[in-house]
Amino acid sequence: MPAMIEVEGLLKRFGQTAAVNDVSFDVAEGELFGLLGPNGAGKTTTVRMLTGLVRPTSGRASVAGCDVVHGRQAMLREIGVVFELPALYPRLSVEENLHLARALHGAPRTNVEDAIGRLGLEPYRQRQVRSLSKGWRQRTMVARALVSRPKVLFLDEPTSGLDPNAARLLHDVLRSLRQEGVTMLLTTHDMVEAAQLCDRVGILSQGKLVALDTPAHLIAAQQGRRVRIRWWEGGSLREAAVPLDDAGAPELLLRVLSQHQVLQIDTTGTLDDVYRRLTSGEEA
Amino acid sequence: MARTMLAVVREWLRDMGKNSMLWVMVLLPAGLSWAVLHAGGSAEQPFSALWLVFAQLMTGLMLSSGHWLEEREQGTWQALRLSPVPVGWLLFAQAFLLSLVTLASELLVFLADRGSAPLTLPLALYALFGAALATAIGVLIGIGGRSARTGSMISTVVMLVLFLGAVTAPGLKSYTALHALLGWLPSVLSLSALDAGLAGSFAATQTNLALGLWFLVVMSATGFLLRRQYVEGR
Repeated sequence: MPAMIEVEGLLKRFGQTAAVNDVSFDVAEGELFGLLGPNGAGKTTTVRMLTGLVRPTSGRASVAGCDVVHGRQAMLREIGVVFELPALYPRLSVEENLHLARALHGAPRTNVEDAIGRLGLEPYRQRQVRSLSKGWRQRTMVARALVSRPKVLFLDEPTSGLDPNAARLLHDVLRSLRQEGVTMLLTTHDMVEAAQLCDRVGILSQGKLVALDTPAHLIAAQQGRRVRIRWWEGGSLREAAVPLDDAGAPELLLRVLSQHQVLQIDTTGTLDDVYRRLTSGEEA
Repeated sequence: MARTMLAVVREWLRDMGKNSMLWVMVLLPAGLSWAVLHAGGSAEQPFSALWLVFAQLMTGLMLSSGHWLEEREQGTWQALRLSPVPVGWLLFAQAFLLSLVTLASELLVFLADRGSAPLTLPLALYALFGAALATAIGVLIGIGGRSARTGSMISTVVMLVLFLGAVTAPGLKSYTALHALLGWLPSVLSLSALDAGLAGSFAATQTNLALGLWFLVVMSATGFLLRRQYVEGR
């Protein structure tokens, strides 16, 4: 399958600091790719470069076959972007905001109806955006990004602060978009979300890409390196993922096993374990 | 592209129509000038172009800087930059709309004080150009301000300096250094041009050139800031 996003040696410096440092990856057509990393790891800067908001210091990237620097205008016709903060006109209604996006992309009016239907915005279409809850604003943002029927969709922490139901609905929308062949790049802090949704993930740490694979492969590589253990202690449930190469691991495991009621112990890793190991020491 | 921009402008007009602060700022100069000139039931003071400059600064500069700071704060400016419409077009369209709003404010000032007196071509042109220049300065502050708070502080200070300059300059002796200095302020140049326009004539060539130069400088600075924001990512 052809790559819809191609990134090669991407570098962005702010003064002397490299926010994104020599990052390379590809995202195939119809793939849902997750970009993970702690705050300040370079996720948002990468998305801002790939969407043409910021010029890379060096390196090359193309989205939907268009260079992000030299083919920026053509590229913007093919992409949709959902930010963490709703970038909507608060005085306008949901419908008016979508019509504005439609007008900017020169898309047909029917696209607005489709987006409203898809995101379940019908009861709120006439409501001013400022009167909506965060969940509904976020749905409106997704609808806004879909109005132009993009080939590539960028989602920068779209479920941050959403309640589980709103997040689940968004996940369903993303799954259906993937079935329709839309390529997506998702940044998130939520490892469960990334493991459930993403075909592949890249983990950024201090501006560098430190892992790139499917969640299953990354977890498999991690397996056996940690013991996850849950136990009762002092009336509360405790949980730890103990690295086996840690010098204090045998002592901790022995203490827990001998002194407390252990509920669960296994060596199955999670994406969260992988993430913690690769990004340890960084701000979460 | 023209059809796209018309459709976009229609939605922006809806947004402006729902902005109560915009209405206050459009009506305020006319209301204030009417109250001051007609207080006590007699219009003893002659109508001054200063009220038109006040309308330009209040509506053009303050409103447009506030508008862009709001766009940046709520993230809609970023969303606009992600549309396939070139950023220059978007900027021009919004600035043009705000210039027209400023012109409407000036027209209200004129109607409130001059009633049905005829509007001369030079006055109309200088009112429009002054509105465009004040809006362009507001855009520059709105785009350049690091935050909404800093931006509104800067726009308030700039507005006060320009207005006080326009109030003070005509009363100064022409040979003083301060007069020469204040004479280059865009508000003082605009005041001089509007005064000529009220008399039905065009201003001196030097004033026209200086106003044009200000416009070019402000537009170039805006272009420079936009480019820097793209390259540096700030």
